[in-house]
Amino acid sequence: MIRVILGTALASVFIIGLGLIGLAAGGSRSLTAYLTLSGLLFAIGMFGFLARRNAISMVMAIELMLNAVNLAIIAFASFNPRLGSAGSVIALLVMAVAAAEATVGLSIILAIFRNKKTPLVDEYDAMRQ
Amino acid sequence: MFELLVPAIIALPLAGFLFTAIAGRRLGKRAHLVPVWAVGLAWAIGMWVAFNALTRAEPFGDTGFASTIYTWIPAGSFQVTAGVFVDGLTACLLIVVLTIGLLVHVYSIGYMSHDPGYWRFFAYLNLFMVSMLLLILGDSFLTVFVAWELVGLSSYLLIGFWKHKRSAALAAKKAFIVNRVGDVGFALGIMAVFVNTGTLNIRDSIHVLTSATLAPLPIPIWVVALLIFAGAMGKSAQFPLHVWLPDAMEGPTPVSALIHAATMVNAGVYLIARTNPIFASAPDAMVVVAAIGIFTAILAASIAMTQTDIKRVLAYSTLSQLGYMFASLGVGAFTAAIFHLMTHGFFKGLLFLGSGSVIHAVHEEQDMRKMGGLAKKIPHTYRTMLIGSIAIAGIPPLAGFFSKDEILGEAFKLGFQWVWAVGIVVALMTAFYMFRLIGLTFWGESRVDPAVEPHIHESPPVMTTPLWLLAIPSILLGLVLTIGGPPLFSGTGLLAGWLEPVFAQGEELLHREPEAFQLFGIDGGLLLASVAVAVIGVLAAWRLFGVNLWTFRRRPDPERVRTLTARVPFLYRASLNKWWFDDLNHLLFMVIGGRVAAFLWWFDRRVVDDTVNDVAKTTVGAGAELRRVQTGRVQNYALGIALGLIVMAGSFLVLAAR
Repeated sequence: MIRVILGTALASVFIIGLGLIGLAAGGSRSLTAYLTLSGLLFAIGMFGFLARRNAISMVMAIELMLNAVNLAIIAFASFNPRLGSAGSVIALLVMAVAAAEATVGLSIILAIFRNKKTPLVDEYDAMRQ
Repeated sequence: MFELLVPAIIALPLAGFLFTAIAGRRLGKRAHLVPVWAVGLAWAIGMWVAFNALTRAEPFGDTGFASTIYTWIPAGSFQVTAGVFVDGLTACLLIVVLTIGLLVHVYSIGYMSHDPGYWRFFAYLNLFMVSMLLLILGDSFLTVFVAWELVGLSSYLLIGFWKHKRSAALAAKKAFIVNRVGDVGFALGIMAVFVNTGTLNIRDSIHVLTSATLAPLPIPIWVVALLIFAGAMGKSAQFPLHVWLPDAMEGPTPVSALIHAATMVNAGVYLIARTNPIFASAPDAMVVVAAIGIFTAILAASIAMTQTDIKRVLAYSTLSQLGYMFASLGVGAFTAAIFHLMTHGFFKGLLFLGSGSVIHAVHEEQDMRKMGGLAKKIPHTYRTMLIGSIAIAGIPPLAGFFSKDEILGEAFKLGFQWVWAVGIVVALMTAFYMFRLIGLTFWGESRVDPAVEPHIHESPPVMTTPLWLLAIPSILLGLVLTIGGPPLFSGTGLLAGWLEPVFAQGEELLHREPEAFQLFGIDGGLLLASVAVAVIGVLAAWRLFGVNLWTFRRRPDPERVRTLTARVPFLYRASLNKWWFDDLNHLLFMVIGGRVAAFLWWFDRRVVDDTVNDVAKTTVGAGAELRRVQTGRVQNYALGIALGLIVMAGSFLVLAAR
């Protein structure tokens, strides 16, 4: 329970804080707006990871966070000419890593599911002493 | 040729030891063959080597013959070679060790014939011969130290030979531990020699230590001398480390004769004689040697006068004679000390083997109060022991007279009149207690247990032959070794000629001038005094324990003994209780030492251990508490990560905003 409350509170702080910053920056074609969106996405992802008990949902939340970061990278790349194509390359790399991570993560979850007969991470407490 | 012959003297008994140790159990009553022949062969080679060394034939010459066998420890600048060295001194020791060793081996064939550990005994005896020969032949301090420990080991094994006997096991342990005390000193002395000279070879290091051109030594030479003397004190049982030797009599009698009378206990005397220039450079240390020697002599002699165990009397007598030798070394009469070492080795070996024969005859009884009147029943033993007793008492012309008179005379003439004064009293006591032993054992009425009385028998020839063979040098050795004149100072005697190169440097350091022998002067007077006290001692013992001088009837006078001892009750009790040295040691090390140890144990348990345990307990407790953090739930950990991220991002924002 405390997890949900804390997660909710954290996400709220993020969303409100970033929203305020975005509003203050104003304008449609500004870096701040992209970063705000990225921050919002990341906060949502983080909330999802902390609050959801279903392992599949948690993997999805991770994907959300990765994409938020990707968005921030692309935004920096397009607003800062000195970065050139480096931003796109890093973004592609992150996508590849995300795909690999999703594959491995889902495999692990499937393997655990076969053993535990449940997708709920609360039940996965084998590592407790 | 001698490169092979000299190591062979050690190798032969070693082979005998290894063979007997491995195969002896299966040989039964033939187990003695290999060890005895090994020692016999070593004896033959040893006599040939000694003959060549003493006649200074090539390759021995004046300086002696050294041969390196191999480099033992090659470690950069630290080189220790294992080698042998033979000069006049070594040759004298070779004669004593090998001859008595061989005779004791032969004697043991008879003495140990009924013992179930027959083969074990001969294996140990061979091991002892190896160690002792290595000790006198080794040319570096480290080799000598190894041999020093090896003789200690074989002494331990042989004292505790009858290991099922508790007293024997304890005596073996006591000998070993008391020897350790001295060995610590010797080991430190060797280190001090190395620090001073950078070499462990005995001759090289002495050369460096005594060369005058050298800058001040890092460790003063008197410290080196006293440390070496500490080692000698342990092995030669000098006060206050003398307590182990009387107890060592728990071993079989041949062992007492070989190790604890004739050879091993002489190792200390040999060591000091070998390093005589070191001592000669430290006159203060020599006074200490002389004082401890003569004190041991009178202490042990006073105890020997009242003991009732035949072997213990001889043990204290050995202590006393060793004290003479050390006193002689201390006053600077090195040749006299070696002279006494040789004669004493033979007549004390004889006396011990004789006492073994007596004990054998009366069925393992050692108490002299249960003997008496044995002279007729075991005539060979009686005659040989009588010869030995006359020799040790110092009646001319037997061996002991010459060597003892040399020591006393030298002490007097070299300005140590106090050593002479004590020594002459010791000579009186020696004559008395030896004839007390003879009187109680062989004269008077028989006090033997009636059950044993009819079975008293003379020992077999294999035991009596060594006795007679030892009686010959006991009679003649003094005369032989002084052929050509009194051995000292004038330097004309046979022994003095043999040993002259060995002690030349020491005598030179002491600024000795050769002096003529004055028969009708001081020497004659000293000689008369020695003979007089010896005769008085013998007559007194004769009167009290043997023949009544007035009536010339063979009747001891026990009443008189009782009244005499009652007149000096303190002295009598002190002597009987060995001046309470065992009790003193018990008080010091068992009672007081035990208390200290108990306190230290408490400290260790309560303070040291508890500190360590408390640290461990704290760690365990902290772990028990902290493990609650590890819930095993993924999202709790993720929450931690998220909080960490926020803290990092937040602090970055705060710092960047500044």
